[in-house]
Amino acid sequence: MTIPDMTVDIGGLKLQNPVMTASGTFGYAREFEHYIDLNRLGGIIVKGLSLEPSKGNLPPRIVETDCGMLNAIGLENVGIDAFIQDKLPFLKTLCPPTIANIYGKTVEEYAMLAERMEPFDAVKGLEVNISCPNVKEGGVAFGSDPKLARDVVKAVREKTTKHLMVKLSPNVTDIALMARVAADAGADALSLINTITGMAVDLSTRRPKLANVTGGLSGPAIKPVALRMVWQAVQAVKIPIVGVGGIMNATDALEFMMVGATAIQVGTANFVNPGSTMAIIDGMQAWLQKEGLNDVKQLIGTLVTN
Amino acid sequence: MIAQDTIVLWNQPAAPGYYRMGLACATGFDTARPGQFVMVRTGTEATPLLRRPFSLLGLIREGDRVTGIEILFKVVGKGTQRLSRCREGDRLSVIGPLGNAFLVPETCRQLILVAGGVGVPPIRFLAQSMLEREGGFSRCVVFVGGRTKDDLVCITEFDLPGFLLDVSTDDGSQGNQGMVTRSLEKALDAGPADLICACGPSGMLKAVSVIALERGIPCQVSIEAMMACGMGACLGCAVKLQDDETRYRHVCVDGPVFDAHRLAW
Repeated sequence: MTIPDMTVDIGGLKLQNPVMTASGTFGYAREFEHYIDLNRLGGIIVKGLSLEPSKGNLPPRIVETDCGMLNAIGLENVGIDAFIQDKLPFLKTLCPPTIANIYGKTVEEYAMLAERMEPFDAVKGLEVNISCPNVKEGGVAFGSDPKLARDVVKAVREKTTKHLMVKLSPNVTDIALMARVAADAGADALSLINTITGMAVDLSTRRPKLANVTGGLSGPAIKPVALRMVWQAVQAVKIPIVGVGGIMNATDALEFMMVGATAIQVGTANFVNPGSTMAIIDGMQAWLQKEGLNDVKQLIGTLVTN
Repeated sequence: MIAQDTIVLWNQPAAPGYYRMGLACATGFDTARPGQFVMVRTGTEATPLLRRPFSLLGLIREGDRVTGIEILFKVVGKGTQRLSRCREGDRLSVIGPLGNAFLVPETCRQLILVAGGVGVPPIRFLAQSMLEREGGFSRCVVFVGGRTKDDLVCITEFDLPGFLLDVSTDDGSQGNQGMVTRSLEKALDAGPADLICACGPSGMLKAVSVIALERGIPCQVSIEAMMACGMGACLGCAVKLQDDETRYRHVCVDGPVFDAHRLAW
């Protein structure tokens, strides 16, 4: 039987398969080189980068919850300069496109990050994080305010010729509106969802389990919410949608594509099993073959609702 | 470090609520050192989702080859409950060996080891590995503490040639009555030490660190933190050093063994 065509195009960026790594769950890729063949990935989205190095939130930063986990890392990262100097040379040697996730505290900071990244051809795309729930300034404010979101995306668009993906927050009332705003402001693709704001309490100590009090929920618990939001975003805009949220296996990934996602990102599953992405690629391919589909694109948006 | 399916060789109660588990590993642990840890997936369901970190209690050897590992755990939550129910022949996914290790310099002649409660594993592994050391030690004392005698796990493992074992329980149900740190202080008042290596509850480690610092003795501690991945990706297990305010270290890749005098307790 022929091997199905797994290539997809997420609005000007071609991927050898739809399986990417979600920002903040895959470090800068090197962390996983002993566990998987990095060259088999569809795309690599690195840990969110800021202009200056950021040390992140006080511990404890992580707590497990039923079918998921809460994190409040607070976007600890090496900063864009150290990324370019220390991390990019390795990423450059890999086949899958590197996508740099960026976040700023102001519109200007987002623009500066885009400008700073522009000369580096090894970075094929930007994922603009307007949705992190764990940083006090920026982050979720940009992701939940349509006007601010538009300003950020427009500012980045003006400074970059690279592929531009905007990562949307689920912590909004109307995801379709946010999707339209980002698309109209010049995004090439949208990725959703980021984590859902949540909280865990230790009854015996009367304290929140996270030092930050609240954190972002991820893992299997959020998949139904992610599927619903991807479904709504797909109806709202014409640009490709990249589905994220609780994808643990090939079945989950295929469901997102059936709902209309052109590609997917694997996040928390990387923590549970560093080989998850490989298993998902293999599993998707096997399912397509079983179904007699010779191209993964034939699956996109084929959900039957009548 | 690699991810692999291991087979449970044994899973035996080691004390009330504590289990000692042997896991056959096809490969990967030949160079594993005391202090290093593994991430164990306790099942395949969505809850508990994350792997659990366990310090190595020791290696299982057949001739020159390392064919498996041993871990020790206390049943505290869903993950360890699941592990406690594992039987011989069950499969468990294991990642490791991860992290750094205790480092005993060649010049060290007087070594003090301190283990509290479920902190026994890396100290036991370290004590065993010290037996192979050329020249040995002029003094080697292991202090083991627990709340009661039921929290003294695997102490017979410290019945090693050249090692002196000193046991304390908070309630006096076995050994000296009182905190392990009191015995440690007495011993240090009686004679010097070149290095202290410790693992146990955070409060105990802090106390050991203070005792060592007061006497100018180098001290290495193996610490715990909540972590999702164990390999430097989630950045959950952040820990602060006194002498570096600019960034956190991470228990999984920069530890779990730290210079006690550098940690911001």
